[in-house]
Amino acid sequence: MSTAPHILVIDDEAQILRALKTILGEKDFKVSTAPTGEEGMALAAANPPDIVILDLGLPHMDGFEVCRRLREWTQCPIIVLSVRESERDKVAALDSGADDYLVKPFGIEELLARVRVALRHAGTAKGSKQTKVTAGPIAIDLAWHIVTLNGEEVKLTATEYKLLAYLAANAGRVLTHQAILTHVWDPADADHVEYLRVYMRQLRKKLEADPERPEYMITEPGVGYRFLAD
Amino acid sequence: MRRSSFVSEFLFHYIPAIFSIGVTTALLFWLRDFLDTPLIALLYLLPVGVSASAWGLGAGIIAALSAFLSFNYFFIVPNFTLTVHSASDLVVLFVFLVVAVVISQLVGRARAGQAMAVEQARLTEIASRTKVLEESDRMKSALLSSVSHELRTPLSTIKAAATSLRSGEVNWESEARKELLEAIEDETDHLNLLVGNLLNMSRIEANALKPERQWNLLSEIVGTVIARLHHAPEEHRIIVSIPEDLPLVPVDFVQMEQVFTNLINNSFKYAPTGTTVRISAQKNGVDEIQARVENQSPPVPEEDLERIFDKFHRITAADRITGTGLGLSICKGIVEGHGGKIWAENLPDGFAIAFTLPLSMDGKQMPEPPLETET
Repeated sequence: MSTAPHILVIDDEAQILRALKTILGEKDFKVSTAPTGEEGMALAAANPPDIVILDLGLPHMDGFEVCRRLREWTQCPIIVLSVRESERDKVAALDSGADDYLVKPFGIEELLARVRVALRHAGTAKGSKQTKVTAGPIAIDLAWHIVTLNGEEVKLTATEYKLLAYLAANAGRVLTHQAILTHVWDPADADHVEYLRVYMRQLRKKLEADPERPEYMITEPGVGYRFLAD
Repeated sequence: MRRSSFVSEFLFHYIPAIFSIGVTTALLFWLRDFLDTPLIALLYLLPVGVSASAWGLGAGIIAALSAFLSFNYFFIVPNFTLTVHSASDLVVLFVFLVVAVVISQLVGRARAGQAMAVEQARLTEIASRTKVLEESDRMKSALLSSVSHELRTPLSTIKAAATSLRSGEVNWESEARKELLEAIEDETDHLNLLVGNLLNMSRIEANALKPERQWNLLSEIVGTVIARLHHAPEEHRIIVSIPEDLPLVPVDFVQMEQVFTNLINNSFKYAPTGTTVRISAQKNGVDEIQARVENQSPPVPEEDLERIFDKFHRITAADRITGTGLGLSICKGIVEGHGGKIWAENLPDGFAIAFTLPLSMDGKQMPEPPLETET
């Protein structure tokens, strides 16, 4: 990228804003900060960012509201920050337009990984989509619908492939149970988490070295799944 | 004070008693042609008993005396005088008076006794509630002191590490630097776990757990827990033994994660280095599964097997083992919130915590996912 990506961080805690400004600044990002939802929205409107990091626990205008309002006029990726015991909030945020989430307290490597993935997906949304996705020994050809493990083809059922393809097309990003069920099955099946559990297990058995401790098809507790590609 | 109480006694207790005798007398006088002396005597006992019961011992005695006088005046020959001509009438009168007084006494005392019993019960309830509050205060102090200690320990490590890194006394490329930074990161995770425990405990106390139940693979939950463990796996062997055909369970993923995390961490804490921790699950009849976390730690005394699930219970001396003592009570709260049971067992070569989980949610078992064949 010719210009450094512009990150807008909206969080009511001054310490976090300061720390993120320093750290992200070091990593060659241009960082704007805002302590409230209103200010954040104003800054975003005046100077559209490439990515927004938004705390869900904002006072006054809460994170969901900011998310919804931003989505009314921008498709830039939004990563929400939340606390651990609020899976419902995370799912709600993801369903109302956020692209990913981070649980406080988070490590900076995790944050950077999420930011990179979000920016990459935002980039490919405008350009051509990736047709080949690799994750360690796993290779997925989305154009020819071929999946190999260590070079050898793996036989998947139609649904198994559809599920894997959806995960791979969104590699690095969290996908909620509802989003997966709606895309891979049917909007009417959005509540049938059991389908997802069974099929994820089948995929892991076919593709992961240790299905019980997957390296690439990761469970996001209470939220959904994430596919970690190279 | 005493004067007003006497006046109120008089007004509210004695006057009604006398009034009841008056009413009875009028009634009996009206029916006098159908009544004989003994019957009148018996009938007069009624208002006496009622007066004693309704208005107390004093009213009963007043009623007895008024009845005696009315009886004599209105019904004993010669009528409308207090003289008595017949000897048998005199006996009746005398016996009546004795019986009336005895009845008043008995009823009056019973009534007083009953009032005392009510008062006694009320005081006992206050005493037991006070005890409960005292116990609750004691536990809150115990919690506060335990929590302060627990928070200060990782904080001390973080401060020590951060200040030495800043002071420039540690060589920036050295192994020591890496270790100090690692210590800071580990202790913040530890603090995070602690805060999570406290939050869970307060939710359990307030009955605010509300598990968000979804169909889940227990092996997936256990796998996630193990993937997130930090150091201790290096010192213990972990075996997971969950059959593939174990039905999905309707549980809250994050809460069950907490249960397994606490049980496995406990195993690491109490089991000797190099020993095995085994996590297993199996179907228990049609309605439930039983999950177990077994380790090779020393057995727990039989009488403590239930107490270890109490808040703050520690089997060994508090200063040797870290932790707030909340882990097992949180497991209990979560398991019971799902409708299951949790208990501890001593094994021939170790110790186990086992718990059950129901297989149905809202009365329904898991629906069968649609099958398909390979392409």
